[in-house]
Amino acid sequence: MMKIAGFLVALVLSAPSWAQPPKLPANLEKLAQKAKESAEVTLDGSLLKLAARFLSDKDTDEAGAKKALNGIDAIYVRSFTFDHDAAYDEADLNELRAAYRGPEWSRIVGVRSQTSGDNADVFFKVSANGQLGGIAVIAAGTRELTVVSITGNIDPAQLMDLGGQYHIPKLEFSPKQIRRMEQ
Amino acid sequence: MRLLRVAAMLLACSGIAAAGHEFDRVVKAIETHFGATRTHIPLMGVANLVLQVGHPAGASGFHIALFQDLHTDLDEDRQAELDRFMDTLSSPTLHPFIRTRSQPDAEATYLFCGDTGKTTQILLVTFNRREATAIEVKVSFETILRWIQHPDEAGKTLNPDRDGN
Repeated sequence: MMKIAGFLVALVLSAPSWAQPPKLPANLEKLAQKAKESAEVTLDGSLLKLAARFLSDKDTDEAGAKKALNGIDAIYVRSFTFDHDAAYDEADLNELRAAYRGPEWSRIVGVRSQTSGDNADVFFKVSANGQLGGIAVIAAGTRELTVVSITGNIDPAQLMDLGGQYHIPKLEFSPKQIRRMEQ
Repeated sequence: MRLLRVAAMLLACSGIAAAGHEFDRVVKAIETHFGATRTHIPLMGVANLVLQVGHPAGASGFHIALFQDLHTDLDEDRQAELDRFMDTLSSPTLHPFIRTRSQPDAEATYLFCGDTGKTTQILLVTFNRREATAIEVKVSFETILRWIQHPDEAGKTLNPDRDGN
């Protein structure tokens, strides 16, 4: 029995971590194939802890980010650049958004720009104990697409401190939105 | 005291051996997968010496393997296949953390990170049309942070065949 348990643990540990993380939409791979350039960053475990250790307590921005990183398990960033407009369409975006339509997910922010064609969606996952357990950001431009997924216990008030770092878009929420997140 | 020193030395050596083992494993896997053998690099010892003295990008402990005439023109299907192959190379001591692709240049870069600390063992594999380079190197965490912010720089910083040097 112990041997089987040991084998299972080893199997889990050796599973390739590049395999699409559970908190990223399945059709991302399809979009990656269409992209001219793509960058994928996966920060988890010891790398994330180390990143927190290297952020300064004295610098206000870094201190905020350091605090926010403490509860985070992983940050996944997938960023694509396309060589022409409409390389992906609304149906592709809707498929991405659909990954965050489960009962535990709520769409907190949705921004659409008719003029520039840019849009952004922010989704929150609330865990059973009422804590924020995950955040997903989909930022789409005419020739760019970025999907960020953060897992772990996250304080919404500290989320903004992470904006601009590790490819997480800078998020600016109104006081009303922050109150809504905290409820 | 002497015993402690010996134990510390043994530990340090086992770390180096483990790191080299991962490099050898990845090189072997590339050779097997593509049916290629690594190209002999003349004056590799000199290059190592330059790295020991110069520490470009805070790098040290350098291993490199070059592969030529690989059957890997990176069209969409082959890119996906390459991704799947590279997925299999991660291990409990080798975590993938950056992957970049450029279709016009037919380039793909994969970065794996070993045990983290003040300096961190990095394994970088780049594919460029019919060539590949595998590099194992120790870099400072500041360098890693810079690569996280600018993933496309990672391959260029260490790979002499690419722009940016």
